[in-house]
Amino acid sequence: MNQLSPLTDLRSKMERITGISRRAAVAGVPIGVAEIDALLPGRSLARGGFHELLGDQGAITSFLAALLGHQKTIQHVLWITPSADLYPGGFAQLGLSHRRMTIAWTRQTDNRLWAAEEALKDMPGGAVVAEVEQADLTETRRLQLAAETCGSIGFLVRRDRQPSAALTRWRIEPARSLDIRPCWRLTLERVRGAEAGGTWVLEFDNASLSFNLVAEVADRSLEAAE
Amino acid sequence: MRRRNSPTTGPFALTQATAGTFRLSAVNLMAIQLGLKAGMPLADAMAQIPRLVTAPADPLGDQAALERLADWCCRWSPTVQVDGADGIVMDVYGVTHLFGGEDAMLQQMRASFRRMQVTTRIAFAASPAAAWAWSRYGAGGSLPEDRTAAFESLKDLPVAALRIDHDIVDALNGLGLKTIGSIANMARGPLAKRFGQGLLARIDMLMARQPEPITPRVPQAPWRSRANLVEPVSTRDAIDTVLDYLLDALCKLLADEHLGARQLALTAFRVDGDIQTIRVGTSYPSRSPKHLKRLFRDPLDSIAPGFGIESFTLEALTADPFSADQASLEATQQDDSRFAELIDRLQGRLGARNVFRFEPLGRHTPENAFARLPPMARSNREMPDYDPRPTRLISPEPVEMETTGDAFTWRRIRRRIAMTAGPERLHGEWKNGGMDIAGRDYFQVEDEVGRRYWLFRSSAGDWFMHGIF
Repeated sequence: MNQLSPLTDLRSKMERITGISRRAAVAGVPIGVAEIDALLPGRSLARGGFHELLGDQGAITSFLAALLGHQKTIQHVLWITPSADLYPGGFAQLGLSHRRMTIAWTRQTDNRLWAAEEALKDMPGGAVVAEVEQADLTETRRLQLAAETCGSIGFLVRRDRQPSAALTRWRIEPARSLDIRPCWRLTLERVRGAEAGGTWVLEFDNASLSFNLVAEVADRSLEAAE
Repeated sequence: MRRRNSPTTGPFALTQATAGTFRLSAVNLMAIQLGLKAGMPLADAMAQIPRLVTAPADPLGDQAALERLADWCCRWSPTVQVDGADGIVMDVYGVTHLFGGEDAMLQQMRASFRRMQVTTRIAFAASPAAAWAWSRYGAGGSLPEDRTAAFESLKDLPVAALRIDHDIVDALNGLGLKTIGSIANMARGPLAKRFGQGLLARIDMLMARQPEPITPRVPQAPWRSRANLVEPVSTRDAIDTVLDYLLDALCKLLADEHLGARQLALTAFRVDGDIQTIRVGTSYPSRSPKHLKRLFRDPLDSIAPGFGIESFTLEALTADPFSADQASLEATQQDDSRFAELIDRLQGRLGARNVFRFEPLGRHTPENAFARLPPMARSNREMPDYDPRPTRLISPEPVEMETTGDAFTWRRIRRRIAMTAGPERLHGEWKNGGMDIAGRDYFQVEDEVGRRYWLFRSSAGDWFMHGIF
């Protein structure tokens, strides 16, 4: 009944070694900017694992809201946070409706990691965002395993740079805009199982609720001046 | 039941001042054997037995202890009532078989109270009145179920066993009517005329001809399971095993009625009379033993087994209709219930109020614009069409705006302003008879590195940081 073909067997072994799952590649979360997605295995942020974000807290919050907001494949977002300041008015304007969001609040980091692990096990169609100060390798491995069990996707917002089982690591900073709109500088620092990296500036498109790849404002003003 | 927990092995009595005289209010077995009895003046008692040890009575404390004991007795039957200052009455109809029959149950009760060092007199009878009489004036133990046979035992008891006023007892005795048997078969008319209807009522209650209802201490949950253990348990593994058994039994009861539990209470009865209760709630009706078990996992840590727990009850305090064939429900709904179970676990550990979702209230005051609702509550309101709002709203913090208006200092860092948009004038709203905020002018401000802030200028002209985008 449960006999695997040699090819399937080999694939699953490869997946275990590289940490890149084919299933994840099928149903990942694309950023929606071809240049960036092209660097990611499966051309998207893979499911069945979690992704790390470091950098400016405000920029990370709005970036995730915009990323998860325009992914209609993500039914629900659980946001695990130590602060009481998440504001649904802003999330909705980036595309993430209050109807698709649940907040879990706790001050203790270990409780937040526990909650993230539990949620990753039981939110196959959803996404889990966890804001932690730090996490060690073992803790991140647990998150990875939890996500693998049901193909969920996690986003770990952290401040430290300890070794991690994350599928990708990003640095997100604010970037200047031309008209006070959401704008981010994204740096892809690490992709598990691949050599990839780069820095881009993304601008939020209010009409389509998606990202546009743009040049730095300083360069854009230069162009305008010429 | 009487508690005689004395600090000495010798004669011991509790004393109480009544009408200016100290009297013995309770005495231990040793004191009884030496001829002392409750009600005696303290001075007489001390004269008779100089080595008598006494302590002041504590009627309130005794009552509280009796209440606790009654709670503990709920392990045998849910219908338990404190009866007077020294009694507990319990309806054991239909539960004796759970303990191996009346005699076996009696043995278990006696053993339990002995372990708790509570001296008791226990009687089983067809009516509370008969049990009262048989425990206090008779031999105690089981009276025959058959009324005629039971009367054979009760008829020789003194009339005081009818639980009637002293005056009536004295009056009956004066007429030579000393035993229950001597008045039970007398003509009812003259008896009522002379001693009142109350006496007849007590006789009828004794004979189980008239009901004497017992008011349960706790509102009884209709869905409950119970485990009485042969050996008291104290390890977490053993408690888990018992909980599995209880959950299976309870979920079967709920399944029979097509219900799912919304609120559960697990009560542990310790051998020393201590009672501990854990309550958990669910966001969806559930009768999955596996799911409910997980809700108990963390709260179970708070159970202190002490010298062992000898009995558990599990009750569904509230239950709601549950769609019987979960399996045939659509996939989305299955995901819903999986998500609901996740939420229950999160709430169990983080606290129910700390897992929530937002609901727009349609208000303009930013800090009052959203309510926190339970995660499974349905959203009814649409998000109003606001001007740009931040993703993080903080409590307003004062900001030093430079007079030139091209930089400000917030949290000790000077930030150069690159662009601003606004103002958006927000007026306060009437709330609780006053304005919640005075008028504010809000601005979106982008600094030179691209950070975006939500600042407002108060009606007094001061600047505040209210959020970041």
